[in-house]
Amino acid sequence: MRISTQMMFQNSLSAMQRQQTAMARAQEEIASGRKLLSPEDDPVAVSTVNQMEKRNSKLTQYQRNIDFATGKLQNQEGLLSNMQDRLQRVREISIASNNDLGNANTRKTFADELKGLRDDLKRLVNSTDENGDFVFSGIYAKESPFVPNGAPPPDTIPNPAITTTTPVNVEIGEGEQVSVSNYGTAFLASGGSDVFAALDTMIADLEAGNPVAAAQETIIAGVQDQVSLTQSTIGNRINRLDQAFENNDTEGLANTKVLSRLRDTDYAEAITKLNQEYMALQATQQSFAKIQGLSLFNYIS
Amino acid sequence: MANIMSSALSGLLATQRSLDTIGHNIANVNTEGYSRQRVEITARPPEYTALGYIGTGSSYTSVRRDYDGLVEGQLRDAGAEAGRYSSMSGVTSRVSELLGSGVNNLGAQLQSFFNSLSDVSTNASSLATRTTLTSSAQTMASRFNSLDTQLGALDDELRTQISQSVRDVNGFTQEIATLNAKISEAYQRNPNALPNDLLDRRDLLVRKVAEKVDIQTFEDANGSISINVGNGQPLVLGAKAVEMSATVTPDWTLISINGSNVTSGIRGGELGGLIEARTQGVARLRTEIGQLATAFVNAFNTQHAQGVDLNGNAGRDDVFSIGSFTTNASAPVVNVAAAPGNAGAATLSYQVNDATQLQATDYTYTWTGSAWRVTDAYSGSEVTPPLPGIDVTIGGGAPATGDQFMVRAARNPAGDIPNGQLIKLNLSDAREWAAAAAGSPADSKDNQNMQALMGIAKQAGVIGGASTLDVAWASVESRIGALARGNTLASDAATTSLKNLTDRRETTAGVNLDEEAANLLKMQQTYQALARAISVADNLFQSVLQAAG
Repeated sequence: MRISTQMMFQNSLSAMQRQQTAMARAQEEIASGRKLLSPEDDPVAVSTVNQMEKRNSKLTQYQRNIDFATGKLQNQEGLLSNMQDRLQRVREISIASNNDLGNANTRKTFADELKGLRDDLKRLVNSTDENGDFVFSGIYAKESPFVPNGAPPPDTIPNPAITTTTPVNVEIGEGEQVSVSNYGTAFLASGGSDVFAALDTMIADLEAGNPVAAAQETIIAGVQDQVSLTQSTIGNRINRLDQAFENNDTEGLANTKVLSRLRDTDYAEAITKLNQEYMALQATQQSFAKIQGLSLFNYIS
Repeated sequence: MANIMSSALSGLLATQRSLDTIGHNIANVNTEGYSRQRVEITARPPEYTALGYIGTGSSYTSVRRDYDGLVEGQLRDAGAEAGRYSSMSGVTSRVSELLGSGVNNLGAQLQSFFNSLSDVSTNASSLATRTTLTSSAQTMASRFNSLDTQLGALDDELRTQISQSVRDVNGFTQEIATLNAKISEAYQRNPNALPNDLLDRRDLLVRKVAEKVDIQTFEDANGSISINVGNGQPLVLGAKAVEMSATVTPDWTLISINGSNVTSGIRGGELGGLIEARTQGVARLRTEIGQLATAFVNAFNTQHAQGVDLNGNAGRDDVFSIGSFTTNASAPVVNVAAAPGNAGAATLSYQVNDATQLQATDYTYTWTGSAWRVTDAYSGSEVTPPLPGIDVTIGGGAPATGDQFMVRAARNPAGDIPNGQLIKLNLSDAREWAAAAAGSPADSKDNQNMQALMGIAKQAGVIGGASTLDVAWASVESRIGALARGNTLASDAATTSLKNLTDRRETTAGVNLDEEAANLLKMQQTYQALARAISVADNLFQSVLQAAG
């Protein structure tokens, strides 16, 4: 075939340009760690990758939510456990006051101890978190569960501003939610059994030298059950959170494996390709220089 | 003796012509479109003597170019194809890169915004998470805005390129017409002795026109090449070039010749590619992004207004805005500018009535002379109003046949998007995010409205009548990816076929310097031999003279 000088030049030149483009591409894949750099590289794979990246980003969010919810619930569990200790002591005092017949001094001491326990319970149930929000007020961030009564007795009443027990649900998985809220008014003052009203009555009885009445003891036992129930609900929720965390983690790992295969640079392959293109370019350059140096005109004097 | 002298002299003259032509070939080794030339040398008519015919030397009969008309025709077609696909793939690859992958991707930005909503929902009273949400909302809005700004800049660039492409065509056709005049003049003098260099130049220019726009060519009886474009409108008629003109507005690309609109007939070449890339790659994508933005803003604001913020106030319904659009209820009536060249007095306006119904497309209204023909601006298919989500009102005076309007309601729901600001975030006080359900008090940790807002991401019917934001956006990405990929493959194929044809042309017409050097040596030797022959003739003549003296 007849070859023109222009064609020889042009073909070598476009070969070099092609090799340089391929080298730049391989280099970019190595530098960025990704083999999919634009949707046009592989529209189907990019679409899958985008979906999976979104899914992973969502899973990471669920894990954040789970960490947050677990922290909240563990804090509540600690406080409830302290309340349970105080209530247990109230029970013991109430039983002891009935055994210790007629000892007014002891009952007076019991009354003092009950006052301390009452303050403890008040402080525990009205605890605030790191944001200054009340822990046991459910959706009411700035309303304490219990407030001083304007016209005692009792001197502490459930906060009248808290009118609902709407839960605060946190998303921990696709369509899966866990409540992180508990209402102090619900477990310390539900129905007719208000722990602070009962304590006030008990203190008044003891101060008057009388034992704790059976009615109050029943109320305290009922509140203890309520607190236990709340504790076990929290335990269940924490278990669900742990389970969801595991599930999300497993899914995320599986996704990441697929993602990596679809999206990430295979370094061995990319480096081999870079080397190949490098060698090819070098060979083209050398042969170009040699061929271009060849001319019959060199021999005409 | 007289014979040897004159034969040698004739050869000397022919050889000189050959040497001239070799020099010409060498001088044009790098000239684009040049075909190598050869001097045709033939023996002169012999002289009759009683003993037979005696040769009288040689003469050059013509200078021919090595030219393959078939390849030339194929090169034009391949040039139009390569011009179309390389300009299209240039644009769609850039668009595809703009969409990008990874964290910069619009879908990823939306997801990260929805994640921030989730953060607030877990801890609705925390100012820290709320402030993060505000900045995440800003980041997402900025991503919409930068994408739209970049596409707008690309569109401006394409407008310039389209105009430039048309100017190039006019420059080429002007020169072709001038060459036609010279060539047909030569043709009339002698159809067998044509100016090769002018023919080469004209072939090259025709090829260049074909690279810009798909054409049909006709050679007439006196050697002129006439060129038609589109559906048969003449660009070059013999010695006359007809000016092509481009009116490129933000909404329209109008190519006309002698005042008649030829845009729809232009499919191939760089110009055809640019027009299509501008439509399918840029304009359509901007509308798709606009649809996503409009549907998102409407759904978000509408739901947000259902909630209660940390101050105990009802949620605002203008957390985000697109120009003056915030929710379905706020969409104003938008007057559409008439297309360039509209001769009638009709006016058209639109109003978005339901952003959830808007389709990811624009609509072209064309007056046929008796009715308005409404077509989808991207698929070209006819649409019967009412348009989904849009009320269109036509008023004003009588329209003229061919008058057009473009309805871009999904991209521009209120018709007043400020430069570089598709979505604007209006909420700056983080306490104003309405996380709580209606009826909640101030400082509520209730997150029911926040959860409803999070649900928008996956809620069917938020966009395009039945789709979800996620699915709608994924299909846009797939469309652009496939478009770019298709154009790149087509461009590679067209470029390869153009290269092969160019090689074939070069095989015949290209100059090879070694060949010219060899010919040079050959002709040098011939010249020396002829000069020697003359000198021998001279010696012989001198001998005769001496003998006579």
